[in-house]
Order: sequence, then C-alpha cells, then structure tokens
Amino acid sequence: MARVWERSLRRINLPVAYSEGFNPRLKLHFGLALPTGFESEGEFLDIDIDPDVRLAANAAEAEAQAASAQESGATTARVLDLETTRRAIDTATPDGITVQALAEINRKELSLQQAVTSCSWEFATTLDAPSLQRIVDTTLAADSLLLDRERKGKKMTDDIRPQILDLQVQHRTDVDGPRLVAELGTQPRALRPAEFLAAIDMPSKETARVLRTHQWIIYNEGEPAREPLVAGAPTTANTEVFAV
Amino acid sequence: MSEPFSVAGESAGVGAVMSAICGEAAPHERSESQPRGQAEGLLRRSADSAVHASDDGESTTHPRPKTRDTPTTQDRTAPSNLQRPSTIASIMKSLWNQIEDILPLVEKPARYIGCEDGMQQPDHAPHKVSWLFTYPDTYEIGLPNQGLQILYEIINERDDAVAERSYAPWADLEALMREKGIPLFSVDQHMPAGEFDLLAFNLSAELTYTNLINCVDLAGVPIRAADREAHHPLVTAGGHCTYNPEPLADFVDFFVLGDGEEVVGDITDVIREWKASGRAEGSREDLLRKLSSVTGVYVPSMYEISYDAEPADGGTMRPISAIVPKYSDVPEEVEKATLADLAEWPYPKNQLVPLTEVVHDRLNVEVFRGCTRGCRFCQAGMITRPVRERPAEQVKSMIQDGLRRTGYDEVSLTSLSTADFSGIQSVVEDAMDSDYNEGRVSVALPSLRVDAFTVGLSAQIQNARRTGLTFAPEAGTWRMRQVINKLIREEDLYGAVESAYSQGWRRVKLYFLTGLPTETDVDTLGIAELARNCVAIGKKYNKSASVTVSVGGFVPKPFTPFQWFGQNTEEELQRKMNLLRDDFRKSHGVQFKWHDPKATLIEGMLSRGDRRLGPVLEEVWRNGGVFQEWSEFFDRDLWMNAMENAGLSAEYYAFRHRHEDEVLPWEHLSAGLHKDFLWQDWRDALDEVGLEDCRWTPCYDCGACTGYGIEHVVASATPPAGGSQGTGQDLASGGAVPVTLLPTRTPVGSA
Repeated sequence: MARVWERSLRRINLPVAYSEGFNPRLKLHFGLALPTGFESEGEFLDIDIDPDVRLAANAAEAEAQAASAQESGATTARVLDLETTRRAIDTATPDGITVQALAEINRKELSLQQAVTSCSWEFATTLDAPSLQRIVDTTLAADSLLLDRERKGKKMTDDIRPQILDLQVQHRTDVDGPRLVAELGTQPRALRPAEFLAAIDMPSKETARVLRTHQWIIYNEGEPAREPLVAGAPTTANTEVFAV
Repeated sequence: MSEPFSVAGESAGVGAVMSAICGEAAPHERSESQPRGQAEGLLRRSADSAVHASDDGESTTHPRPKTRDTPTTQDRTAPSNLQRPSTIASIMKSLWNQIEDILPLVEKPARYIGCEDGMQQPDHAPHKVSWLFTYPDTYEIGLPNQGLQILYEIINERDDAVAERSYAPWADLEALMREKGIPLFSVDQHMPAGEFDLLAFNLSAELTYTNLINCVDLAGVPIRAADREAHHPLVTAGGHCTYNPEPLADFVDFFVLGDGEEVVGDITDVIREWKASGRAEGSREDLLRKLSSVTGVYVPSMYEISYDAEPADGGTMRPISAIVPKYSDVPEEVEKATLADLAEWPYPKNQLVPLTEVVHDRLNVEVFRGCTRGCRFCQAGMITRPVRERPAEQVKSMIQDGLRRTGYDEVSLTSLSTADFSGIQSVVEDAMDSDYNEGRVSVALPSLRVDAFTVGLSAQIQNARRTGLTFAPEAGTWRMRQVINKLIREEDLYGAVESAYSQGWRRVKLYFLTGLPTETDVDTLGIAELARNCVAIGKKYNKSASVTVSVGGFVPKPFTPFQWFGQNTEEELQRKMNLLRDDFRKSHGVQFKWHDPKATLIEGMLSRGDRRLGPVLEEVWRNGGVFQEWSEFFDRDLWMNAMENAGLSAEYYAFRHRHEDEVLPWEHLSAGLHKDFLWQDWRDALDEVGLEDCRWTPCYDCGACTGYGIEHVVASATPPAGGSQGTGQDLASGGAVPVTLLPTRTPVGSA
C-alpha cells in the first residue's frame, strides 16, 4: 500500500519531503494497519511536505499568500492549496481510494499510530438481527473474554473484554441486512477484528465482510473521542505537516 | 490454507479518508499484505541464458519461502463441475460477485482483482473478437510480462476486438474455484474465460506447460484440441517456447512464432470473418486451415508426423522420418513473424502499475529487440534476429512519459544486452537529468556485458543502493567460452569486477552454466577459480567483499547450434555441482547457488521433445502436477512415472547427441536461421572457434536478415566501447577502455 501511495504522489509531482540517506524515500506516515481483505471508510495518512512549501486552504488564499510574499520581497515560496491538491491526489490514486479531505496538522502531534485510541468496525454476516442481538448480549454480559494469542513468539492468554468499548446491531440504510457494529480499543495493543470474531460466540462456519468506519482519538482526557479530521471540512493551521 | 481472518501479515495502513467505491464490479478489499517472499528472488533472467530457470536459492526451481501447506494433488479424473460456456451469442456476465465471496479465504487476494493503473475494461460485443491473454504462472510473475501487455494494448486499440488478461490461480484459489464451480476468469472485468473467442497463452518456460492445460480445463474447455467444437474458444500460444511447441501439439489449436505485434491483427481479421459467417458447427477445421497461411501461425493439427519403422542407435524410440502438411495450401515450413521497425510500435504506452508487489516492479522500456552476439547456448539471441534498435529519441520520450504516468521512480532499459544499445549514454543521461521527481530516478540495466564500460555506466546511474552487480561470464575457462562464443577474457571480468568494487559495490553476482559441450572438470572448476580471484580483488577495497556464484545446468534449445548436443544427465550435473560445492568449501567470501538438476532434466525433455510427450503432460497434470517451476510443487517422480507409462525414454529426448541428418521435431518451423549455418556454428564450437558479431562486421548469412529481406537497425556503425566483450573486434589486445569512472577508492591497507 505504501508503494501505491508513493507512486500516486509522484504522478502529480507533489512536493513531499524525502528521507535522508542513500535511498531517499517519501516521508509518509501511516496509521493503524488495515488487515488484508478488509474495507475501510476511515483511513488516515500523514504526509511530510517539503519545508520550502507553504500551504493554503484554497486557491484564493494561496494567491493571496503568494502576493504578500512577493510584496515583502521574500523568496517566492511555492504555495500549495489544499482543495486543489485534494482533487489532484484523488485523481492520481487508483480506483477504490477516495481522498475525502486534507488538512494541515501540527508536526508536534502524536503519530497516528500512537494517537488513535479506538476504531469502529462493521461486520456483515448472513445472520439475522435476533441472532446477532444474542451475540451482542452474550458478549456484553461476559465479565471476561479470554483469547489465546501470540506476542513476540510467546503464547499468552489475554482478556479482551475491556477492549470491546461498544457493541450493537445496526441497520444501515444504504446496505441490506443487519450489521454488527463494534468499537474496539487500540491501546496499548489494538484488538484486531479477527481476534474479536474469534473471541465472541460467532457460529464457526460464519464468515464476515469487515469494514472499518472510524478511527477515534481522545484529544483531551474526559472529552469525547473525535476523528483525526472531519471529511469535507478541512481545517488549516500554520504548521508544516498536513494529514489526508 | 488460510482461515478467514487468520490473516498473515498486515498492510501498512491505507491512507486518506477513503471509501472503497469502485463501480459495480469493484473489488472490496484494497490493501495487500506486504510481500513475504523475496519477489526479486523469483526473477528469471531475461538475458543471455534462457536456460536458467531461476537463479536464486540453493538447488531450487523457484525459490520461495514456504508459507502454507502445499495442497495435495487433486483428482482431475473426476468429472469437472465447472460451468459450461453458454452459447456464443450470449452477453458475458461478470463473475465478480461469486469471486468476491471466496477472495477473503485465499492468499494474496489482490492479485485477482485487477484494478491496476492502465487496466482496460473494454465493451464486449457479439461482432468483436475477444482475446483473453493468459500467463500460465502466478500474477506476480506474469503481470510484468511486456509481451502480454503490448498485445493487450494493441488489441484494445482496435474497433473490432477486445482483450482482457488472466493468470494461473494459485492452488488455494483453484481448489475453491473447482469446489464452487467458478471457471477461470479475467482480472479486468472478471469475465468467464470459456466465453472468450481466444485463450492466448504466453509460453516462456517448459515447466509451465501443465499450467496451460490446467487453465484450459479451468476455463471449462476440453483440454484436447481435437475435442473442441465451434462454440469453444481457440487455444493459442506465443513466446519463446513456441519454437518447439510439439509437446503441446495435442492441446493448443495454433501457435504463433515471432513478434506478435502485427500477427495478432492478422489473426483477429480471420476470426472476425469466421464469427460473422456464423461460426457453424464443423467450421473449426476450416478456420484453422485458413489461419495456417498467416505468417507466423503454426497449426499443429495440419501436419502429419511419421516415424521410422525401427528404433535407431540401439535405443527404444523410433526417430521422426517426416513432417508433412496435410493440405497443399498449408505451408511446408512455418516462418516466424518479424517486425522490420520497432519505432513503429512504441508499446506498451500505458504500462500496467500493479497494486500488489510483482517481479520487475518498475517502468520497462525496450531499447532493442534481437541480439547477434552469437552466444551459442542462447536461444533468445538466435530466434530474435536481426537487431532492431528503437530510436534513442523515442526511448527518451517513452521514459519521460512513462515515469510521469505511472509514478514509478525506476526505469529498466530492456533488451538482450543493453550496454550494446547505440544511444545508451545519452538515454541514461537524459533519464538521470529529468526534472521528474526532482531527478530521483534510478535506471536499471539488466543483461549487462562483462566489462568496465558497463560498470562505469552503472556507477553513473546507481547513485544509491550500490549493493550488488551481476555479470554472466557463463563458463569458467577461456577455452569453454570460445566453445559457447561468449568471448569474455579473464581480464575483462577482472577489470569489470575491480571497477565495481572500487566504485563501492560490495557484492558481485556471477552466473555460469555447467554441462556445456566438451566441458571437462577443468572447465567446471575454472568457475571456482574465477570466483576466488574476484573475491581477492574485492578484498583490496572492502574487507566484506563477497561473490555470489549461481550455476545452472545447461539445457540445449531448438534453433541454436547446440540443438544437436546431448545434455548432461542428472547424475553428471549433480556430480559437477558437488565438485564445485566441495571446492568452494575452502573459499571464503563465495556463496554458491545452483539450479536443481532434476528440473533441468524435465526442461530438457520438453525443450526438444515431440508430440509423443502429449500423454505425459496430460498424466502429470491429471496427477496434480501444476506449478512445476515452483520448488514446493516440482515433482520429478510424477514426470518419470508418466514417461514410463507412455513408453518414452529420457535418454532419447535429453541425453542423446543428434545426427546432422536427423529430422528434428521442429524441422517444419523456421526462426529464419539456415540449418547449415547452425550446423557450421556447431562444428566451429567443437573446434573452439569464435564468431564475430555481425552488427559491425560483414554478414555471414545466418539467414535471419536475408531470408526476410530486412536488415539490422543499428544507429552506430562502430561497436561499443569496452574491450573484447563478444564483439570479436580486437581479441588480441582487447583494446583500451575509454571509460570515465568515478573517483576510485583507495584499496584497504594501502598507504
């Protein structure tokens, strides 16, 4: 996936920062890995931009910035406007990847990997709503859910119940059939959908199509979790990094 | 087999707030796990030695880490429950919904979804001729194949034809497809293979033959050409193996020899008319007869093969006595198709950019086709003559346009010997100076000559990643190299190696063949000698300098001077490998790798085999023998048992020297080379006489140009810089090497 992104960004000649060393690579920072075979509606990527390039929210602002830079006699920096850039990246990425929003973020913020506290997942199965509801009830009623998993080559048994933050049956208007919707914790170690499915009381033959819908970050203790950026409403701040 | 959700390996996270919306027939999983095998280790060398099946890994066919249980053999004698192709008039329907359900259950599902940048989704229509170009190996190996991509584009540019692509499904997916009755499908629109007009295979290795049969069966098409009816697809194949396709004669309706660019159009015309005429029952034979008169097309069922009454030479097998066309309008000799001018065919214009990792994962630009260096073991160099260079300006624009469109940061300049390209210097400079990607473009030069010029060139382009450099001296002694006409002097090799280490490379990889004509143990051990000397040179510059030696067993190929040579037995090759292994035990800094002699034997039987091997291929396939070029699937016993059951002899096909007057199984095919030229070259080989490269010296009438009324297209009238290197120009002195090298490092330990 990293290669797909590198190629896409090179196609439009986006001024991305390169790593040092003999084999310079584009500086991209990915969030929590999405397991093979799963869909997602909520993925995030940090892109380090060439330090000489400045960002603007839209074309008009970019023009204004360029004009003021010229007035003050500063060296004319390249200004990138986020709205045009979003469309350009969206065009360059393969079918199936839609770039919904771009925003500038502060480099000092935690990396996506560290910052995301939980993810929401949808599971599409062939089970009917009452069967799914029984699974939800049993799971939520359990005091503990033990799962054998391997960690650094060592087998251990973990209680994953505390990592199931929310679980319910939902009907989406745009798809057929009921879906199991779960919010699974990611800190200190992410509970993967496959592990979750293995731990709950799902009929063994049942396979599920899995969709990640959200990645949540608790920015301040006590406040509700938010997503890293809200699609369609890019924000800007005067910093060097921006996230897609 | 992977269980659902026990997904091995996770992808790097997909970026962006994204949703997987990709149209109706769109794949829903989009991220591929990181590769677990070393994909580069799977590379086949495109260059000088078509005889190496693979280069890496100790004693392997295809090295590949075992990551899963190997599915056991499948019983293919049971009736297939595959869907039968419906009538030809039906509109194709995508199988995506059925396929999507099983993809989460298989390894690397991204290789079955298509969606590459450059993919085409043409509209099918009853009047259009539909081609399914199929590579009979995995997607990772097949996707980068340039021949397939070129034809895919050329067909899709036509108004009267469409093309899609398919690759051999890995065993886990095949098992599910058979269980659920899903036929072979295209990756572009997931159309059922059996409903295309043509299943067109690329044959570049003998050990993929059973995969071809498997793909035809998975398509729901009878595997034997004789059992197919008017509504079935035509099964065809192109690629280097079609210069002796006889072992596949029972299974393939027609073969195509030579350059495919023009001939696919001629074939499309014939088939379009046939479709328009109603494709009547019983018309298939008439169609094939008509196709047999298209230049480059070979229809095996149009020829009668007869055999001598008695076995010859004290063996058990009767030699071929004659190969005769069945009808007067069928040509006695099938000529290969040859393009006169590569400049007219700047393809692929939209090279496919895969979503998942494949071999040769970079932009490829073909700089010339054909090679006249005249290495006698090299089939590619014999059958692709004459040399046709692409104009340097066109190469430059293909590089620039290609990089911009694909987003790749690496371009490979492909040919059989890229340093021989007249415009090499300016093309490389142009690529490096490009403003694309702020000049961060790396250029790969596969198939390098062994000389300092080449290293100088490599030093210019490999600004980073100076890890390994590969040369192919092919044989251990000068005498042996004269026999095979690969005229590299030891000084050339040492000069190249010295330049490489002094320029910062730490590892040099050397390719060799063993089992060559007239080879003695002195020649074999000469390989070890050369390697040790190279290590010693390397140690002057870097204490950790190392040399990797990769040795393959030689398989004689049709249309080479060595086509009459009896290859070494499995035991003899193993003995030579052991000889080298023991000799290398006392050498530090040398890594020794070899190709499995068992696989070399099977390749040898098929390479120069005849139609009597058809039942052997069928039996091996019925017993589950697919992916035979993969070490975890290769099964020698499967082959040898089938040979025995068919009453055939490995000695006859592989180990026996042929007589000059023997009717070879490919006697009725032509690569343009005169048979007496090849015979003379074979005699010269035995006399240890080298032959010059005719690009820069007078013609010796091999037949490739004169027979077709075409000429070499070479921009430079003088041979390239760089020593003796096969040009044969100045063997006495080797000449000065006009090369600019980067500042040389001081040897370790010198003041």
